[in-house]
Amino acid sequence: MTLSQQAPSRSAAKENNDQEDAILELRGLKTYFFLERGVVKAVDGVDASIGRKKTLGVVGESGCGKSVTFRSVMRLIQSPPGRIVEGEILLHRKDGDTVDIVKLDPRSRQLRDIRGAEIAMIFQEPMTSLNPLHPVGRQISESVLLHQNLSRRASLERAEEMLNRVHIADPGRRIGEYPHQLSGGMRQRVMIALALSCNPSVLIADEPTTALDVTVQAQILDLMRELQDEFDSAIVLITHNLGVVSQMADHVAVMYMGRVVEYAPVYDIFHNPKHPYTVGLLNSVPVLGRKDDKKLVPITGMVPSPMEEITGCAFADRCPQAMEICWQQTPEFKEHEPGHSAACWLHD
Amino acid sequence: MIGFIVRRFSVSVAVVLGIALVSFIVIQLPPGDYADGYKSFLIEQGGASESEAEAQAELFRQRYGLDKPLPLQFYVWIRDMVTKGSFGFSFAYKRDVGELIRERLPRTLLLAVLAHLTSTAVGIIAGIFVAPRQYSIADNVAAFIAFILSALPRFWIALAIMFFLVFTLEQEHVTAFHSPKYVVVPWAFGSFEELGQTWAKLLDLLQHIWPVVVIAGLGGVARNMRVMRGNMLDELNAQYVTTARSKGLTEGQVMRRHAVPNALHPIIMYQGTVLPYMLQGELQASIVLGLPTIGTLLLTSLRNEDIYIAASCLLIYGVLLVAGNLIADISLAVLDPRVRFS
Repeated sequence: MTLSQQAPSRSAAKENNDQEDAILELRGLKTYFFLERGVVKAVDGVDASIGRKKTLGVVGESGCGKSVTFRSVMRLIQSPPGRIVEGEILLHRKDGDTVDIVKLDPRSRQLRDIRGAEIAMIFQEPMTSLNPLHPVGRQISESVLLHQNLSRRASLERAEEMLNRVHIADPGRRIGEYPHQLSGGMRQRVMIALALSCNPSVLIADEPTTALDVTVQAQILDLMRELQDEFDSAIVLITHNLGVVSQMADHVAVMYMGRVVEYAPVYDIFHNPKHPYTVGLLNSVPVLGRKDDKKLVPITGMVPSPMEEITGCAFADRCPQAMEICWQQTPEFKEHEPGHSAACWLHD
Repeated sequence: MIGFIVRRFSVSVAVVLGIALVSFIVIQLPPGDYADGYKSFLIEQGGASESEAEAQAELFRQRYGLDKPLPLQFYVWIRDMVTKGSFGFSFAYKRDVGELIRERLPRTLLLAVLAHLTSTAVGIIAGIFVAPRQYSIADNVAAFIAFILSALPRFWIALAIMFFLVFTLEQEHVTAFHSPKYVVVPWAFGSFEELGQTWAKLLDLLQHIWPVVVIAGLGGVARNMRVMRGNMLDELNAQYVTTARSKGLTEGQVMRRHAVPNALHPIIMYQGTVLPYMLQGELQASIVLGLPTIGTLLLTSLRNEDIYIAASCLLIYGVLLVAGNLIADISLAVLDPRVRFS
């Protein structure tokens, strides 16, 4: 037994195998929407794993299925028309059990015990994600009362403490205030307080900063990082902002048309991208101070309709490096370097 | 909160004054007055000559102040109402209008409020029930019934119910509040026997008034249901409902604590405008079924230009409308902090 294993530092923990220390694993997840116009394959075979206390960045264009994937994890997909048709969502629970969330009834006690207590979620729109009719303190304590064996009074104290933890000044007064009395940034802080109030092991943040001012964005991200250390939560950060991902994530999953096309540690995504779509995304990010000769390169073409039946690689039509085989066979998503997977024929 | 109520209340008083003025003017608009009717009555029934009858009519006008200028008449009407609580004099009934209204208003309100409560409760519950089952069989059946109910004219339903009562159920007295044998029974609660009598009288009353309540309320049920269903569908798709679900609340808790209170908002807001709608329904149903309420009183007074009754009835309807809105505003403030604080 080596010294580093006895006392693993944060960086040493990062070297650990994901599979061993995963808290949440998605295997071949498919969520389809059965509409009158046809079947929308919003999530079409997603594999991902989120390490304990790690941050996974999930990036991709609008409509690539990143939100639907993680709403499926919370079983928040409206049914009908949406349904998880295949796959597994394995959660390693606090009590040591492993449960497949796909197999649970969305109305079951078991799933409700997971929601909020083990997996919590923050949404994009802080303006509308709180109920306008209840004071914010009560909205936090409602969750605490549900999952922890506390009195009404103690749960309100917990709410006040949580507001303090997310750096809201004068929390004693704020718990009695209504959402319309708070600014957007404050409401997102309240949402974070609400999400973390029961110490969840996974926090899913669905574009948590998209609707906020840039300065407030930075504060919220700092806060999330700080609280991740305090609460030991894993974070799934869904975003289309690569800058945010580079600051926050340990690993990155790039999604396109309902599939993960590349998965790697954050450093490799930015310095050694394997999928042409990832390369395209990186080239279309403006960088302050970049010389004129490196102009922004947009990805050509349009995202195909989600109802189209596609043979081969979904990105082939837009890919500058497409080969004959790309239109004939779907590339398998597999590991090309240790810890670095991609679904692309270029690397076979 | 108290400031809010005081503010709303003072605005309401001003609105009521405005309504009084308009009611009074509207009543004066048709050509002629009660004295003209009296005059033709004297000529046709009493065999008086044209000039004799005109002299009588003129006397009549002088006696009741109908010869005075309109602004003065209005002033006297309002003054007596405020100082003496008198609403003027009914020429046809030869009685004080206030007395007539006091006699009929409680019954009218009883009917209207019963109809209102039934339609609101049934409509809201039906709306909450069908919303999560959008486009299911239950939803479509409810929508079909709602459309029929809101499309059928109320006087027609009243006639149909009356026909059913008389010819199918063979109920003997349909155009009254009570069967004759209960009319003299007092509402007493002293002894056991009296209590029994009162109970029987109450049942008898319900037996007579349910058609009015149903007829006046039916359209409201349909409306409330459609509105509540629409609101619920909006709210169930709102982000905060997803937040509530992601906390781990049961579907019932999500509905009760989060979706329903928000969906009630527009319903409460229009409660104020529904009360006169209910009064109007009560008016139609009562006229067809011949129940002595304010509705029938207003109809006859309009026919024979009994101006003080007509104006007072209009005024009462106006006051009820304003009161309804005031109550709706206050309940909304209780429910919604955004109304309360702004």
